[in-house]
Amino acid sequence: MLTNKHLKYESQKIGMNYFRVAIVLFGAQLLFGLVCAIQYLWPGFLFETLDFNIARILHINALVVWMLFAMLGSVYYLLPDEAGRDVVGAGLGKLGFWVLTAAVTVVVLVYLFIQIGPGKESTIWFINEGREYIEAPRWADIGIVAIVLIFYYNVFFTYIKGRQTGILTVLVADLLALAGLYLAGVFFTDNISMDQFWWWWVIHLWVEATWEVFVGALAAYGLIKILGAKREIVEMWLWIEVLLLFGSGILGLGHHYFWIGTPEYWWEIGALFSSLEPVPLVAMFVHVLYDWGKEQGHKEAVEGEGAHAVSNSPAMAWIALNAFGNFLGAGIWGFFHTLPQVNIYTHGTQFTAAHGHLAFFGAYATILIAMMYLGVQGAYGIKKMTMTFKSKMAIGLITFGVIGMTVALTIAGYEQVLVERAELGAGWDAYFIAQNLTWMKQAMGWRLVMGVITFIGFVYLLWDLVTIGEVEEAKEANELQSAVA
Amino acid sequence: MQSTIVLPNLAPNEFLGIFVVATLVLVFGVGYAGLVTLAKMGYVKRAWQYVAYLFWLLQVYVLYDLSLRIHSSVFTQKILIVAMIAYLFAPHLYFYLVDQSAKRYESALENRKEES
Repeated sequence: MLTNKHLKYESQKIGMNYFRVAIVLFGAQLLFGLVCAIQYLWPGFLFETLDFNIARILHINALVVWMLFAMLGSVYYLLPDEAGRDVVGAGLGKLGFWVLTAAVTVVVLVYLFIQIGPGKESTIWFINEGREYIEAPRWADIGIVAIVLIFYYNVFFTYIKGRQTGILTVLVADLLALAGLYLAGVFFTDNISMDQFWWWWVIHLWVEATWEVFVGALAAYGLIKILGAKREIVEMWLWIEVLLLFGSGILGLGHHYFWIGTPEYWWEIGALFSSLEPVPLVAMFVHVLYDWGKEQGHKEAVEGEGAHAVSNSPAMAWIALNAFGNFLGAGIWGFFHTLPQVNIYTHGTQFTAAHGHLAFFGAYATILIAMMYLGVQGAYGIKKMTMTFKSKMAIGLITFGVIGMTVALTIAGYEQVLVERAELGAGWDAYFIAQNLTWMKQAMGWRLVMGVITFIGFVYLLWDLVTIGEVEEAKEANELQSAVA
Repeated sequence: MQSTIVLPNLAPNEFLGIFVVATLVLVFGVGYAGLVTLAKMGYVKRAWQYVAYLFWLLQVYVLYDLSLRIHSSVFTQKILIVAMIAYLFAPHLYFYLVDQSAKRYESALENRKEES
């Protein structure tokens, strides 16, 4: 993770820089998440130093930003492989990276040390815009737009001047939508319903449309790179997934419009298209396992039993986990509270948090970690990378921790639905009665325990990413020497 | 504005059933797609494809049950059934496209070899 010695393209070196910042922000996300989890149990913890609302902002924004960093890194990393040439504006790309990193650092410091403003226009410009997930102040918004324009310029013109593969074609179109949608969260309206209406364009159309297509493109690249899967077949799957994801995800936006003052026809539209959203996730799940099985079978037929088609086991393990996690977190946990008849009770309870934790982990964190392992393999010039003890501990503990948090939050959400919403009618008192019941307290306790396990898994992940390159490089050199001898 | 849809009140004891049945819809759905995939790949015998259809039937049933539990309108119930019929054909269409694409790839590869 700490070297670029075998990377011949500037684009891939920029990609590795993005990965390094992403993994640090991932750690920050988990630490602030632990602070929030502790505050659920002991509300006085860090009171008036780092209050829950600030720790939560940092937890969620660090999540979004580390994923964006890892996404930019992934694109810069795969770009030369796909286009067959280096990025057109390497200098601009490096400038963009440093400016973005500096801007994120300043925004985090402002969140940490200034925290809140006087509620005037200046607060929106310099401290916090007040929109969940994308709280960055306006100056940072404008900076992000400028950096994304540099990034898109690089991707688009490298694509035009290089080889135009199916994966890159999907990415070029998807990134334009992904970047353009951010603009819907930049302007400000006085009417909270209208503001929420546009704000969901950023959040929903990112995570349930453009980010999912992005994941499909990364999985396609990963399968070609790791398994040697045939490009024509993988790209054909990718186009079908794009069709299904956009077909269901765009109008699935309706499930966010149920209770914010929008017309009621969104109930039917939201219910129908949200129900269809798991279909592409099943398709992606089948796709990964089908390609893996097929290439492994082909390898065994040619080279005999015991031959392995996989050239990067840690990355493949995370991609396989992505297939399961995406389906479980985004599919199952999303579907069972998306219909309006159910959502009227579950909206804003810990159910949403349960779904959010498993979906972000399953759908995005997994595939982005896989890309980091691919980056390490390239940076050290390793032909076949295998799992170390630390790789196994990382994947095992993080997965166990996140599933544990999801189950705990689901139980807490279920209690809220029954007591706070259905029995007591969702009033002020109902909220506090539900918050103080044993089911909620125990669930929050288990959530903290599982959060700590996730964090230990993250420490193993970081340790592995930093050391696996040298370990595997030395192992391959030894094997080569023994073969020669 | 006149309300066009009235959402029913669900009793607290209905929720667990709704969550379980909603989960089963997806579990049977994956079971159907997964078994068809394994049969097509040759990992399990072709006969397992019939078990897959059993999963599909169970999925239709639990989806219908879900629509009753959440008091869906008749229109929504019809749409869900149409969606299930489409889902029956989806994996077959999928693998047909994969086969066609593989054939095209193999023949293009042979042509390239002959040319070189």
